[in-house]
Amino acid sequence: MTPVRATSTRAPGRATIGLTPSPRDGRVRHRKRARSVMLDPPAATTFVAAFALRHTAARLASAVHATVLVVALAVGSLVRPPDPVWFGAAMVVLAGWTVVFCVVALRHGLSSWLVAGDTLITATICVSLGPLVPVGTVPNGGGWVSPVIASTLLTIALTQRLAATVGLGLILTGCYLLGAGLASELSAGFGQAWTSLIQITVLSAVMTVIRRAGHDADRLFTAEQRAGHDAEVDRARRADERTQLRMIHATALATLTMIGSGSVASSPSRIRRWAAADLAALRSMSDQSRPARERTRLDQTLLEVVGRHRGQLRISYHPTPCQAPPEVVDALSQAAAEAVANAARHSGADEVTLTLGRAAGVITVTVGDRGRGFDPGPIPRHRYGVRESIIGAVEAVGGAATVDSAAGAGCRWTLVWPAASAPEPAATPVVRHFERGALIAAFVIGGLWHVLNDGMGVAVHWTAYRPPHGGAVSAALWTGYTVIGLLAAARLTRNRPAGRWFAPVAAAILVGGVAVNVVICTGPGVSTWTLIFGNANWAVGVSGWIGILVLWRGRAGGLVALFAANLLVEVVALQIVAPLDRPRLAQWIAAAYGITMLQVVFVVGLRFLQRSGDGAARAERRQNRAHAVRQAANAVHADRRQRYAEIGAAAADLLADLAAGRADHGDATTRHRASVAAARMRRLLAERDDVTDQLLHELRACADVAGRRGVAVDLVAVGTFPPLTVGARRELTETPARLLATARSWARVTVAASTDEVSVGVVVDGVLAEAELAGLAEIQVGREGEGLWLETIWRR
Amino acid sequence: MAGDDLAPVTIAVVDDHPVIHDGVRAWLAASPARVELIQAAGTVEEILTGPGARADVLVLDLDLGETNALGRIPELCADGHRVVVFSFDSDEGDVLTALTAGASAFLNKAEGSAHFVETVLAAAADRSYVSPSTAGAMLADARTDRPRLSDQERNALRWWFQGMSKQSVATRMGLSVHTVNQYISRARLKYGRAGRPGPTKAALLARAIEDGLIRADEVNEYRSLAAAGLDFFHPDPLGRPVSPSGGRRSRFR
Repeated sequence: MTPVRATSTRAPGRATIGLTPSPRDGRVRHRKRARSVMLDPPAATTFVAAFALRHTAARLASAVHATVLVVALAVGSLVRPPDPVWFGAAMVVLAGWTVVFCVVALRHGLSSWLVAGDTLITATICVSLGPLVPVGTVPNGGGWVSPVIASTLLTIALTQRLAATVGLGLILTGCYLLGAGLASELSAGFGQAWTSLIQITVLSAVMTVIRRAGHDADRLFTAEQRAGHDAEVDRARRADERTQLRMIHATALATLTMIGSGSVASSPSRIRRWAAADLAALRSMSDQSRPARERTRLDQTLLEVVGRHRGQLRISYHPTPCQAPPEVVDALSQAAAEAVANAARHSGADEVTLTLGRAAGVITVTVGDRGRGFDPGPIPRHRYGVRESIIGAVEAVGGAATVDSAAGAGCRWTLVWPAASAPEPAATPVVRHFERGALIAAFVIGGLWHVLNDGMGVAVHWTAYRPPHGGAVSAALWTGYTVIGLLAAARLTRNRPAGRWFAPVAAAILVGGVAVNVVICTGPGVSTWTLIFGNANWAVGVSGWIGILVLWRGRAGGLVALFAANLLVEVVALQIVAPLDRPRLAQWIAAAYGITMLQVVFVVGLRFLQRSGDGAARAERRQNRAHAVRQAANAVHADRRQRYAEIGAAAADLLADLAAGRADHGDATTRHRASVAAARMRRLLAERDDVTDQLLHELRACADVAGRRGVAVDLVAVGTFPPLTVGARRELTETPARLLATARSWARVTVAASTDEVSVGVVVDGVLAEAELAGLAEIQVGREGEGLWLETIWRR
Repeated sequence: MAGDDLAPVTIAVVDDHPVIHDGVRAWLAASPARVELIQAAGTVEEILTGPGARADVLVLDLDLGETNALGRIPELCADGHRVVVFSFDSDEGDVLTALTAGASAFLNKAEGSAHFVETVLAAAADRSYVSPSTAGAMLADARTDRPRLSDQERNALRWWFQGMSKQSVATRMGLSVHTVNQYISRARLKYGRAGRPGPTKAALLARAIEDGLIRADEVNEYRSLAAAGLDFFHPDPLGRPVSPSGGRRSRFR
């Protein structure tokens, strides 16, 4: 229902006073703002997170492309390509394309044709592998071709859906195999194909999690926008209606004030004419507001619900007279009607009990039947919609709906408004949801990589490792890494902070393992370089992934240091056991790049995820707060409408007497009646706050009490109230209230508030007994003319 | 009293409620001061094109049917009219806007029977009369560029706003009524400095100097401001328009 309300401010029967813009109110700027918001309802969905994701993706892809170009140039210059002309041409094309890609991506985002172009160029490079890279590098992605493939896979994953990512990734892998085949090295191509498959899997998993989180965040942002917009619409509606009411009352107020102060010297016939005109204006208002007032009577609206089922279903209705803001009445009656209709359709019972109660400001509606009932746990598909619409309708206005039922024991709905407010949880569900998603992604990636890539590396190269126990060492290392990963994951899922020792020790083991792995790759049977650049040397790759789990809650700097340490330790260990020549260095750079790029991309993605999760959580909190304020404001407003009607009616009686000549405007009684009515009206006209300050609320209540005794109380409040404690408020209002109670015919109550000072002043025509005067002495009751004066002051 | 001079003070009233015209006539008739209502009408235009255009003081209701007359004040003051705002609504924002725009005084209609005649007499003599509602608005001013009021000025304003008589305020402060009036007038003068200068503000200032209300060390500040108002367009430092509809039209541009 909320979206409908967002655009339909003239819903029949709600804003019956109308929305005529009037510049009467002094707050023209405020009104204009509210109005312009009303003209621009929020789009159906807001894509804040989606936009942020696109923005991040474009920057990430550009950065990766640029570094890939540098790596390709570096690696290409270190090795001697089979055909320098082909290689030169390929480098020129790659450089040109990288420039185009970065410029377009940063300016316009990652468009589909950019992705297509990138895929096409990479596929071409893969197919022409033969002339571009030395034969020996084909198993390791041809040195520089591997990073190029990785960057294209990343671009695809960032922009395409899951199916397209996997499809295009497989095509690229096929192209590489085709290129290897054309160079008569098909079997050597499977190494890179394997790497690509792992990359595709990792990227797909990460992007799925990120997209889902982003989608959730967007949903929340949209809901928040809508709530804010609704609040604006409500405020504008209230302001307009207030202006209208004030204009209608202004004419009567002028007449009553003048009569009250004895300032009218006109002929009785003119006074009668004015009174009649004022009366007509007031009556037109009460005519206009009647349907709106009826709508706010929940007992009457529910009676209509009962009437709709007459003849089909016996409804025993137990109402209590009950008023509520119109949207609450709408929601509760709609939900009750659904529950009744549902009972009629499914329960098999011939009688439904509908009760409406009100206690301590809480409205409770129950709908019960003694029919078949149902098990509220597993809800049949056809009933799910009904249940959701009942709960949704009530929750949308800040209420709560529960259903209590069991098979064979009937069904009972309880609708409560307002819902008991739950304390705000320390971490909102959104944050937990996002964190869990990211956690699962990290664990899945690390786990998949470790089992598929590393496990296979250990098993396949068992005998190739350095004797005598190379295989066993590798297996032990693999187990150690597994244990660290599981420990880190367990600590994260239990949400317990790790011990101080855990992160540094685990990081040391991970980095040390990298060096050990390099050392055992120097067996006699297989070439050291085949082992080093194959998955026999698996530790350097997975160390970073497990490190992400270990250092999850730490700073990003720790992770960067770990990634760097992994590479540094590996290259130093290599330098000791098998010094790198130029082609090997090139190969190592390419391999190191492939490993680190994915990890960095993941960490960046994670940061985005956490940020959007934070944003979504804040949006959720703001939304709840806006909702609460809106409800409070609407309740105040409904109450005020009611008082306008009452005061209008009181004034109308006097005006009717004047118009009919039954009351004489010069008569002292009439003048006093006019003074009291005018003071009441002025107090109401001065109310413009949406959510009433408590201090003012208490003073207004005292003034109303005195007003009912026939005292004309002028209540003038200026300034903006600072937050006051209950004690400070009591000290400010207690004695003024006592003095006000002594007033005989008039009183003036003033409140002047600023950020550092609040003062309440009272002047009355009352007389205090000496004893009372003594009790109030310390607060300085002074004589003021014929009456008394008193003030209380709070200072910061 | 200015009303005791040779010629009576003349006023024109803009208000769309005839009962208010009636009330004003009653107040004037009951007062010994010589004040003459020369025209009462429902719109500003009727007054400007009628005999009321020459009145010493223009009494202006803010709620004129569908429009708010707050935006007319700068233009009326710029044309040399002394404007007394007369409204049921003494919202502090409206009061301060009116004073900043150059109105001589602000009077709530509920205060009319007690303060009307004194207010128009003061305005006609280029003096400012501070009604209790105006005192309240000045006390509650929360704008960042609000004038700084002394403690004595604030006390006088607060008690006057609460509904004490001037005599009671004076007794409570241990001062003479004259001194209390000086405190209140000086506070009001500080509001004359805010916003765009204009002829009514300059006149108010000139009279204040004449009356000895302003201390010697303040005179230069006030005087340079008044002079600037006749020569230059002096924009509001916060860049706000003086009024919602009055915009930045100024004869002094």
